[in-house]
Amino acid sequence: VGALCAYLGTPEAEARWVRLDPGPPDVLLSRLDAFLGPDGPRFIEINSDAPAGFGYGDRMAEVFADLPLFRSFAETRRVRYEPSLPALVDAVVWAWRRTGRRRRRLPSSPSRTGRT
Amino acid sequence: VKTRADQEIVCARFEAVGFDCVLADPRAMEVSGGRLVANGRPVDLVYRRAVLTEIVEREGQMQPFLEAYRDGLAVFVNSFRCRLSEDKAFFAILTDESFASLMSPEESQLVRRIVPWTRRVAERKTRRGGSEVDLVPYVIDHQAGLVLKPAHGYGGRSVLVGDETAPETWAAAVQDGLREPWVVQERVHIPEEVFPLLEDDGEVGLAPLKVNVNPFFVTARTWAR
Repeated sequence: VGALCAYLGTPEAEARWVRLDPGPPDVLLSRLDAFLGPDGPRFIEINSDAPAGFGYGDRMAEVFADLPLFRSFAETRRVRYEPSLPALVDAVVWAWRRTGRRRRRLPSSPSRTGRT
Repeated sequence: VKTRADQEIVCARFEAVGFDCVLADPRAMEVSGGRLVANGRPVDLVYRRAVLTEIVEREGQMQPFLEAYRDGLAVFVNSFRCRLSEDKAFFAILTDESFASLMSPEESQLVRRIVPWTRRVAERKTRRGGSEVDLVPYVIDHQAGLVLKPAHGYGGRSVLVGDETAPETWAAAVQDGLREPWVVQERVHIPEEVFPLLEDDGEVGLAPLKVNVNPFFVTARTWAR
């Protein structure tokens, strides 16, 4: 990890926290940024440090599903949406349970400045 | 927090399946009796929204939060180690010939197909399109087909798209990249489609907008078995 931090140029103020090993998995959730082209997707970034959007996607799908225009579209096209939140909750709870903890209190901690 | 609504949706989902969940500011958390405490309630797991960069900027205001991380008083998702793959330079590791031995031939083939050529900006020679190139002159001479970005940025901050950037600005960014961690990446074609758009005058018009896709990744449960 130290060598990786050195290659990436991770600032020491952050690297000293990255070097701590709280146990696996290092990355449970991510959001990838990609563009679709004629040859398939090209991924340009990975957002792993507190990725936003898991909630937005599912809510937007609900909103779209109720629109008359979309309902009409769905009558003639095969439409399928795979919700993100059940997988998110499942993975987070799994990460919690594998440590042997059992209390049912799960806080969500936003930053004040936030990010998009 | 600009994405607070997203957090509220996530929080509601946890509550819907039976978990007690609160949105809490990490600066307002405490450690008491060997437990991380938020809003007076003990915390078992933190679904983190503050990024590490923001946390270390406010480190003095977040000592209990960081103490809980360091001492394992709660489970943190993701752990701070995720910072490594978040780094823009991580894609250089995936595509740079210097690290080719880390992947199988099949993995390398997949990466070549779906990840654009990416390098950390540095005075060095490297491979591009089957040829050896001198990286810094190459980046300056092939501006139109490249993108420059700070390795530790997020939210599109300071990203320079080659054919939308003045040459002198581009050259200055390359020099910045020799002092600080920047990456240069092959410019990917960005598709556009026409969308209805609410105009300032309240009318609905049509306008071409860039289209990207953001698939979510969730680690499989089979990982640790």
